[in-house]
Amino acid sequence: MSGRDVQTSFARRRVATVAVIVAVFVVFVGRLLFVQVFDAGTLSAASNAELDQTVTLPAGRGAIYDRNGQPIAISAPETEIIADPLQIAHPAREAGALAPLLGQPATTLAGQLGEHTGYVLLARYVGSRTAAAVSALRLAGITESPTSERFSPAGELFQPLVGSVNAEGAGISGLEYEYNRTLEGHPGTEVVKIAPGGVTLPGGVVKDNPAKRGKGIELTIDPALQLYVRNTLAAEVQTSHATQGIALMLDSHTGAILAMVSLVAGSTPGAAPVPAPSELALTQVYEPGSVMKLTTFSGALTEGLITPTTVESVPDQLIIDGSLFHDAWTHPTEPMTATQIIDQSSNIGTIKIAERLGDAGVEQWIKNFGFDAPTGLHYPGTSPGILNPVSHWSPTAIGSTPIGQDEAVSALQLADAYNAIANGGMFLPPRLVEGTVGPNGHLHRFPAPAPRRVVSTQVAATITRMLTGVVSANGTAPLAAIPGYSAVGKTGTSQVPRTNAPGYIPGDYFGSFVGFAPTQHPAITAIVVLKHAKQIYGGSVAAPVFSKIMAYALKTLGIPPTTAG
Amino acid sequence: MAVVAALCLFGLVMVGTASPVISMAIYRTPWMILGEQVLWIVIGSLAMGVLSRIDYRRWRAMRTPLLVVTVGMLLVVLVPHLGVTAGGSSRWLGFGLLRIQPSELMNLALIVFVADLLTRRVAHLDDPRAVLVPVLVVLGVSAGLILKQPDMGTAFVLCCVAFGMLFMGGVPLRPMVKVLAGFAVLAVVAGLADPYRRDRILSFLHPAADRSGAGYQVFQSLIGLGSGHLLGLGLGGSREKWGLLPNAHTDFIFSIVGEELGLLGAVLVLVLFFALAWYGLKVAQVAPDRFGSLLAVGITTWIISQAVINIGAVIGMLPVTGIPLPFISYGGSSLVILMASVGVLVNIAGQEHSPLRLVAVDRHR
Repeated sequence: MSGRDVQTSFARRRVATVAVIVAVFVVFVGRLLFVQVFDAGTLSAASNAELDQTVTLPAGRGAIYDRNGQPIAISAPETEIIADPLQIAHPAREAGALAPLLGQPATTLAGQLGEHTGYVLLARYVGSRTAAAVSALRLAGITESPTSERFSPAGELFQPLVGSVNAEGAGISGLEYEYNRTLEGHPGTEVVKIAPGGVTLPGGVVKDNPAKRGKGIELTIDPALQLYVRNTLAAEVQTSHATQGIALMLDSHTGAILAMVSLVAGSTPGAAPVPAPSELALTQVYEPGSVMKLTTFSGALTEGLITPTTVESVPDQLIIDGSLFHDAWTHPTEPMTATQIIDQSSNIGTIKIAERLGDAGVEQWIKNFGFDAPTGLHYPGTSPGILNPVSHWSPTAIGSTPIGQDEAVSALQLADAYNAIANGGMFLPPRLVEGTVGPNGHLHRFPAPAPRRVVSTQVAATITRMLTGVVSANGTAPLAAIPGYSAVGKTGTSQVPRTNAPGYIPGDYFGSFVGFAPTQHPAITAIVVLKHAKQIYGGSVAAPVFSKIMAYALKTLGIPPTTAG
Repeated sequence: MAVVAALCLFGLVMVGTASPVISMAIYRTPWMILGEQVLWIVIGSLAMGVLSRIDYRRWRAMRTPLLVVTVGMLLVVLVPHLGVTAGGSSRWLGFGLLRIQPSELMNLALIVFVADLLTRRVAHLDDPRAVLVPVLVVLGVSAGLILKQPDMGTAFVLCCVAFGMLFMGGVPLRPMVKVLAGFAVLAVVAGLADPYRRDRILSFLHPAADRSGAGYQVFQSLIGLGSGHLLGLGLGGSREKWGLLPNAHTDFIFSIVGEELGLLGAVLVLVLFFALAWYGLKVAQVAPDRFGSLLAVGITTWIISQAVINIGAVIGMLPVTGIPLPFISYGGSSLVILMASVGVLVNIAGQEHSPLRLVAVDRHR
């Protein structure tokens, strides 16, 4: 081969080599185009499938506030420490490291870490410092998870009204349950890229659906009144050996509940009362007794059947269809005015007036005052009460119904009925939740429910006048009188029916007092109910509580005294 | 030289972004591997500078000792306890940072040997016994020893270098094609005979079929490239390097390039290698003599074929053989030897042009 040939061959083969390199270059670029452009969607989806983990972002539960905007129940972020024992090879060693941080014995922890399970809650609600210290240990199978704890700054003061939340932070009783959907908010999600080693990749947060914090709710409850009412009622429950006590206080002008307390006696005799399992003023219905006489009198007055001075001949007992009704005290058959009948709470006199009104009238007037109907208040287990329809009435019902022995009502319904009189005959549906509180702290008020006229202003004024005698020295409840303020109200004493047999439980009574003050321009309406107290009559056990809480409330609200005293 | 500098610096950046995760895992400090790479580049630069000042013709005298020593080292590597085994292969000699891969040196030895042979026997190019057979014997022995490690990739690069030089050296095509056909048959048989090789080859054909097994690495590599799209996730933004893609800072660094810098970065790397190929062939053309020309051809073929085999594997077009991407992958001895070779290339380019370069017949034959 000549040199010339070799040279030509080199040039030719160089061209071929360049051609091969260009071809490889083109093929590679083409392949990259295919992989990085045309297949990019599929491949990055595969990448996402490998790495993406959806993390739930807790929403944060809205707080419950009192009428002053102070929190009654509020959530604070906390951390819980969770173990996955299946990932833990050396339970004893990890337990030893965790024990001083979590303040638990190492042996207990070692036992938990050695369980054959994938989930053990080691500690609920540890502070951020402890959580950081646990995290710094970098122990296998130990994770820190965000959670929140519900705090009640005032302890049990607002229980059972507020209720409680479960371990997951969901409301399970009281308003926490009733308004759970408002309070809980919407948890957000976040897609985070997490490498196989567990490292969260930098800049790996792909989609961010932020958590929406729950709204708060603001109650109509006044904390100062609540505290005073609770303490006063608790003392009375304890000294009177009652098994339960209920007190409810309304703003006469708005129907807003200012204080609501439900107590039951402590588990041992003499122990301090504790909050009832639920708000008894709303959930418990009972035979109200004489406080119910209001409806019959209102009906008879409105329909012109009686005036305050209408005289009835009243014996101390009466037999209706073989059943004996009697007054609480013995007296000869005597003429009594309508005013005397209600002031002295004569059952027979009331029955006489009820007979004027008739069965249908009695039933209608009970209903007019909001009984046997939902109160419109939202609270778990709120009862509308029980009232037999007139078509099902027994012949004795005209005797028992007007004096509050055939129907069951809640304390709230009674307070509302008397508040209608306080409010000049206008029935105000009760209110407990003022509205929702947005994230900026702004209150969005619920629309105030429409008032409804029950009796005329005149009839309301008449009834108010007729009831003033109740708290007078010779009325049924002189103990209900409020120093410095004129007040009206009505006692009630009723027996507790047996649950599994006809008749009543001997010695078990509801003693109640419901009323408002000051008489001329009522500001507060309240009801106090005690069950199974030593002294059975409402005038003896409930009236003193009424007097104290009303005096305090009127002074606190700056209502000028109306009487010397 | 500028191209090589660009590749090295680019490689430095890529090792810097691809290695901290694995560095943390091994050394508990993120920049250990990058530091080593800087050290190797400094050593490589020194080697390149020194060799660019040594007359390339001196290598001719070294051909036999170089060949003997290198083959000897290849034999030693295979001796248990003397060679360092990693990832199922015994490829290294030495310890710690001072580990060298004799197979890398083998490329250089082979290039010098073939260039010399083709220069001395330029008049007998048509005689297979004078040219083809000796080359095949040396190639067979060295490639066989390397396959024994096993290191398919380097063995394949060695074949590419040998045949590239034979081709450019003007050896007639017919016998070469016959030999190549024989090699192809041998390669298929050898490839299918060994389960390790068979798995790698078959997984290349269907990477998605066995995502969690043999095809895992290539599939992860493709995922990385695809996630990069046109402009990439940004330098440092790779997800694959977080323990998903094995050898992200070495053999599969090109995937990280494509993931972080997108199609743009990946094509840039291809362009740089293309430029290097162009430069190498230019040097071959202007070399003062036939030996220098063939030396340039050999070195260029070595770099380019290694790049092609590496990138081909990363983009899922060739089987995974486990060789680094020249200048860019992390890898000590390989980087130094490659940079030193570029030094030789630079020296050839710097020698005076001689119109008689290809016909200059060696008088000492």
